[in-house]
Amino acid sequence: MLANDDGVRAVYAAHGPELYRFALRSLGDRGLAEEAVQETFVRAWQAANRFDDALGSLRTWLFAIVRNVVIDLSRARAVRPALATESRNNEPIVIDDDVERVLVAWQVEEALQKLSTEHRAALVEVHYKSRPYHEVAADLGVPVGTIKSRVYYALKAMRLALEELGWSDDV
Amino acid sequence: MTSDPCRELRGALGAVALGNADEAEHIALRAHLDGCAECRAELRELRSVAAGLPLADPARVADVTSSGLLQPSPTLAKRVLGRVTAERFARRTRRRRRVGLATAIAAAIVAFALVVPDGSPTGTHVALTAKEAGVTAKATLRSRNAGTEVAFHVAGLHQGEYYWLWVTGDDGDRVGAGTFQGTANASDLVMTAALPLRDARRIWVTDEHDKVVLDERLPAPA
Repeated sequence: MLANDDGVRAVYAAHGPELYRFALRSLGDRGLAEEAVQETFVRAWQAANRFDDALGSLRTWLFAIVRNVVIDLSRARAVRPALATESRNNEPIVIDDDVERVLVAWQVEEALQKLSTEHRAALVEVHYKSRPYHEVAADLGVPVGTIKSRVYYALKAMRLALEELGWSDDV
Repeated sequence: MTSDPCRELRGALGAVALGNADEAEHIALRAHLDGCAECRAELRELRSVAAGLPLADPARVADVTSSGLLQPSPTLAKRVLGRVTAERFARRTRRRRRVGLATAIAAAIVAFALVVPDGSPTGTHVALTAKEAGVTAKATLRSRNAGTEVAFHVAGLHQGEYYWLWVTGDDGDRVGAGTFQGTANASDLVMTAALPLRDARRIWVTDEHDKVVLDERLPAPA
């Protein structure tokens, strides 16, 4: 799978960008996020003989690795001496628990992003903006049942997307 | 979701999962759930999704979609491949080293002579590749009891900014040799990274934002 250049290219094409987005969400720094992706591929290559595709998806495995890489990079950054007096608020220092929380938040956002525009809009209006179903329906000129159905399908689609990302119910 | 009652109650199922169902929906769904294990399982799944929603920021999602900002740089694929190729090379080298130590030592002497063209018997000379315009650096690496001593000559960094000098070992772990401040003129520094010179595979410098500004692979001892 990662044994030759074509294999590495194929795995990167399939999963590189989303690994990068997760690392960026966690580390808040593009350079460090790209370093995390490179490190993830190196570790994946080193441990490739331990990957068993009967046990889980390649993506789940890569995400387990990138999670550790992010934790390691965060720790490396945390033990460095304080750099400057002003805080860099776009660069959250994350450690283990935070990494888990950010991973969940990122998974939910990825799942939201994969929804169709109509399904996402229904969920955003009804849930995030707490607007009544009938009001959203009136705005869009569709029956209330349509909005309810869109919200149901949005949740259902998110569930499937989250399962693909390694979501488990104990979070 | 096997029969029409299930299908008809989907809207109610979503609303109950989100916690914004009305009284009639609650009653209708409760009556149905008692006899339908599939819908009970589905409600559990959707509730788990609903519980995760508050963690996400839908505005961030909109940003990503509209701007495409969160794409990695187009060169990342190439760099990933480069890193894996370097690891593959290092592993082959280690394997060879185990095969014949005597041959390896003889080869190392030759390799050493090649790496050190200016004849210094006690140091490995490296010119680092700059990742930022105007930066130049060279280093002399020497084996010490405490690890790898790096005599570092650098110019062109931002004055007053902090930098880190790293040495990466053959196991892929990076070891810090120390921090320093950029100066207007060229500066000479001596720092030590706590790993043996023979294991050093990469010497590199990052800035305050963890951006790599100087980088060079080190040849593995043959």
